[in-house]
Amino acid sequence: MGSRMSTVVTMPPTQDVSSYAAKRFAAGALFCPDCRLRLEKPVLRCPSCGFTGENTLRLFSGAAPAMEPWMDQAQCWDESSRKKILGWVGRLQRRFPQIDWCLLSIKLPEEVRLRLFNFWFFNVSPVQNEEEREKRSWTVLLTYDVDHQRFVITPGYQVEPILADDDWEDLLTTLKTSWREGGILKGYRDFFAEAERKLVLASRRMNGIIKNKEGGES
Amino acid sequence: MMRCVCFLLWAIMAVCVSAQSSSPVFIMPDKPKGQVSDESKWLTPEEQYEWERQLESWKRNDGVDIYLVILPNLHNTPADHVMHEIANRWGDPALRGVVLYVPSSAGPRIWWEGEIIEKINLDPRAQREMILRIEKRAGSESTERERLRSAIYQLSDTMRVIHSQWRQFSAIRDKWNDSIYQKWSRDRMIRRAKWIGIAAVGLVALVTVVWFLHRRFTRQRRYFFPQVSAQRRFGALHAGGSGAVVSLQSSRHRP
Repeated sequence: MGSRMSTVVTMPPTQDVSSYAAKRFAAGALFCPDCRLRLEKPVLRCPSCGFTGENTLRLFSGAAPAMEPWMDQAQCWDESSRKKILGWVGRLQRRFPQIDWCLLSIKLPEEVRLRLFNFWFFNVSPVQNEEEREKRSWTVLLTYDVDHQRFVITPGYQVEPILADDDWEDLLTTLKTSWREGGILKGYRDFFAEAERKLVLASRRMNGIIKNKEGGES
Repeated sequence: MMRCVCFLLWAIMAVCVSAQSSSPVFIMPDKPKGQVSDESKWLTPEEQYEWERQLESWKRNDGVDIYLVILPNLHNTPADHVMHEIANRWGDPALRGVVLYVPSSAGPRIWWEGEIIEKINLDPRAQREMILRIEKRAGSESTERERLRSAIYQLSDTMRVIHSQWRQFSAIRDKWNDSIYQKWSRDRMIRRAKWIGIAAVGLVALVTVVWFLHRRFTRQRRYFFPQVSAQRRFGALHAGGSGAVVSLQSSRHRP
């Protein structure tokens, strides 16, 4: 595990000449997962707390499983709920074919910091090939801590400019509100419905930026 | 003079009243319990019983409803009228016959009629000819009883033939009607099947069109996002963001 993260650290940043600069579309600022310091530019180590990816390797020892759309590690879902939730996820994936969703339920100790856990899980979960590596950056990981009823959501690098952290928090707040009103399934349903709405708006915004910049629509 | 005139008037009136009260009046006999009405008591009880049995048998087995009526006098009432009235009042509306005999007369008179005659379109002249021939043959017999017997048997034979024709006619008509009904039913079924088929095809076409239109107008658009150069940080290969956290237990909880 350590060697895998070390490999990541030493790997030179990929430059894709056919892609747009992420900063141009960024919906929000970058923050340190540990101290939540706002970052002006991508850094290898947080200038405030010194956080780096390797720190999470010390926090969470062991191997993370391969990421799949449905990871019910806590075994808290029945078959009916699984089908419903995956149905909503499928609808979302049909409308936004690029974005993959991974739903993880797990039982974590209370002292575990969910941001760092998701950061660690997202990055150390193995990928089989280059195609899967590319897809991973288009993935959104939604983790449910069953014992303490906490949710954390982490988008990949490609999804990051689409919605800001505030948007994700707003989505989780929707989930929380709907959960209290009508149960967990209603929470998930409203979460995905709201996510769909936000993603549609984000897509229009990003494509509008491209058209304006390239001399299309004024 | 005056007295003479009054007496003359009284005498004329008396003669008229006397003549009126003593003139014979024909009274229609009551309907008998069986098929024989003998008010003149001309038949012996054995003969009456025999004719009752025979006529009842024909009525029951062959549908030939014949009344034997023996009257002492018709009082100048036409025999045809009497027989017609008796047939209408007593007989079966479908087919009825009357043999009327006045003892010591020339011979028995017969009459037959009914709805069947109209249904098989029997010519009235032919009917009249049959009656005359029967009466003529009966009249050729030597004794009164032989004439009566001949008339009754000939009438029963004639009516039996007519009734058989009617039954045959009815059977042919029923068969014909049945074949027409079957053809009509078959045509109706074919027509219905045709319409049902057309309706089914139309419905399928309509559903298909509606489905395509529904798909066309409700198919949700797919959205794509531009590929960006990843802002990799903290040495993380796939995700370097802080993400978002929420706790259901307490909104003030900061994991």
